[in-house]
Amino acid sequence: MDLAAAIARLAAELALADEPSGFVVALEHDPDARDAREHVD
Amino acid sequence: MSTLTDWTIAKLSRAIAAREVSPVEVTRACLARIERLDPALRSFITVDTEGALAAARELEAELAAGLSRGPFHGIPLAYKDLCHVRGLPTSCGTKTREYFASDPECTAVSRLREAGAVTLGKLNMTELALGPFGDNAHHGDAQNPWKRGHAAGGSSSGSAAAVAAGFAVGALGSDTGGSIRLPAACCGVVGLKPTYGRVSRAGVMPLSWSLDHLGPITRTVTDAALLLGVIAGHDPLDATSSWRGVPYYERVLETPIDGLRVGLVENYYFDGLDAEMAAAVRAATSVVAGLGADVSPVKVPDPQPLVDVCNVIARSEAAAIHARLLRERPHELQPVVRARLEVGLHISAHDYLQALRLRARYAREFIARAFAVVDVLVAPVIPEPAPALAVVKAGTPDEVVQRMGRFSRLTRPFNGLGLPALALPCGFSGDGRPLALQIVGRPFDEATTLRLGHAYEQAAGWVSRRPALA
Repeated sequence: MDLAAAIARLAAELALADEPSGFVVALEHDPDARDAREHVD
Repeated sequence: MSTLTDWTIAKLSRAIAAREVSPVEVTRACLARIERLDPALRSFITVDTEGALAAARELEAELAAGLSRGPFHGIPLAYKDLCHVRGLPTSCGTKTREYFASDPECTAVSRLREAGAVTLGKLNMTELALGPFGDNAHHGDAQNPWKRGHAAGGSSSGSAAAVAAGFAVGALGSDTGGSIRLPAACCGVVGLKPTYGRVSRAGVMPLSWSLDHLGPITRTVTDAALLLGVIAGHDPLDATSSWRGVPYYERVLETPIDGLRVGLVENYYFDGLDAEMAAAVRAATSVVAGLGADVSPVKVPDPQPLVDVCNVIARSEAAAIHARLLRERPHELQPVVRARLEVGLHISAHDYLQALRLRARYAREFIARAFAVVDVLVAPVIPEPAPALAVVKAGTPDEVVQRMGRFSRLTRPFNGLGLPALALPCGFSGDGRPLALQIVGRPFDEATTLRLGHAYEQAAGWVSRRPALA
C-alpha cells in the first residue's frame, strides 16, 4: 500500500521525543503569533 | 441601487440598525430568490421558510422595542448540512435524511443565532464532505453560479454557491483538506479556514478530528472578519478549542499594509498551475506591493510529505467515524466516496500514530522556517478555474480519486499545519470563471491574514462583480 510505504520512509526521520501533541504545542506557542495577537487585542 | 440580496453583511447590518431595512424584508428577499433560482443551482438541501420568517419577525419586534443584538441582528445566513441545527435534519450529504444528530446544537450556529442571525436552511455538500468538486448523487450536483455545468467546488459546495448567488448573505463551511477554500475559489467568494482550535467543532459532523476546521464563507473579507468574531473562541463542548482571546478582527482591517512582509511561495504551488491562474496570483502580489507591502519570493519546506501524512490521518479517522455506515449500508454511498473511506479500514494503528508524530514535526519546522522572514504567505488555491462537472466525474473511482488529490493539493498542506488560510477572488478567466489566491498566516494570526486580504480586495475591485443568473 502506497500510504504505508510513504509513512515508513518518512518515519525514519522521527526522533524519540517526537509526539503527536507537538502539533498543538507548535500552534499555541508560536511567539510571533502571540506578538501579533497582542498588537490587535 | 443593487438589490438587497447583493448586499454584504456589513452593509445590511448598518441598514437594519438604521431601520432602513427590516429583518423580515431581507429574509423574504433571500427566500424568494432561493425559490426562484435554486432549483437550477442545487445549493440548498433544506430551506426553512417558516422558521426563517418566524425568527425574522421576532428580531423585527425586538428592534421595534429598541433592542439590538449587534451587527448580526436580522442577517440571513445558511449552514453546511453537517452542522446540527435544532429542529432541522442533518444529512451530511448522504442519502439518509437525518444521518447526524448531536446534542447539543452546533456551537457556531448557536452563537450566530444568539447574535441575531436568521437561519435560512441547510446547504448542499459533497457526501460526507469527501470530495473537492461538489458533486452529489443524492441531492444533485451543486452548480457553479458563474458557469452552469461547472463545479461549485467542495465539499462546502452549497455554502459557496449560495453566497455567490445571493441566496444567503453568509454561510458556514467546514474544511478538512480545503473544503471551505476550494468552493470559495471556484465560486468567486471569500472563504476562511481559521487556525486549528480557533473555532469550536462541537455539533458538527466530524470527518477527521485532527484536520477538521469550521469557518465562514462570505462575499467580502470584512464579512468574514465579522463572522469569525462571533464564532471564534473557547467552547467547553470542544476540548480542542483554544482559550486564546478573540480580537476584534474588523478593527484591524483598515490598518495600512506598508511594511508587511509578504512571501510569494515559489516552490510546489506553481507546479503545473493553469497559466491564467498563475498570472492572476502573481498580479495580485504586484497590487499589494503597490500598496506598500514588502513582497518577496520564498521557498517553503516541501509540502508533499505532509500531504502524504495527512492522507493517512484523514482516511484513518474518517473510516473510524463512519465505520457503521461503511459496514452496514455501503451500497448507499457513492462509489468514489466508498472507495476513499474503505482505504482507512486498512491503515494500521502504527502508521496512523507515526503520521500524527510526523505531522507535529512538520508543523514545527514549517512555522519556524516559512515565517522566519515573512509575516504571511501568498499562494494559489486551486490549480485551475472551476472544472466541468462531466469531466471531473468521468472514469473509474481510482481515476476520480487521483483527480481529487490533484485539485486539493494546494489547500491540503495548511490543514496539516493548522494555519489560518484565506481564499479570495483575484480575477476571472477568459471564459468568466473566478480565479483566486490564498493568504496564509502564522498560528492564530487571522487578523493579519484578513488585513492583507481586505487591502487587496479594496484595491483590486473584483468584489463588485456578481454572477448573472436568469
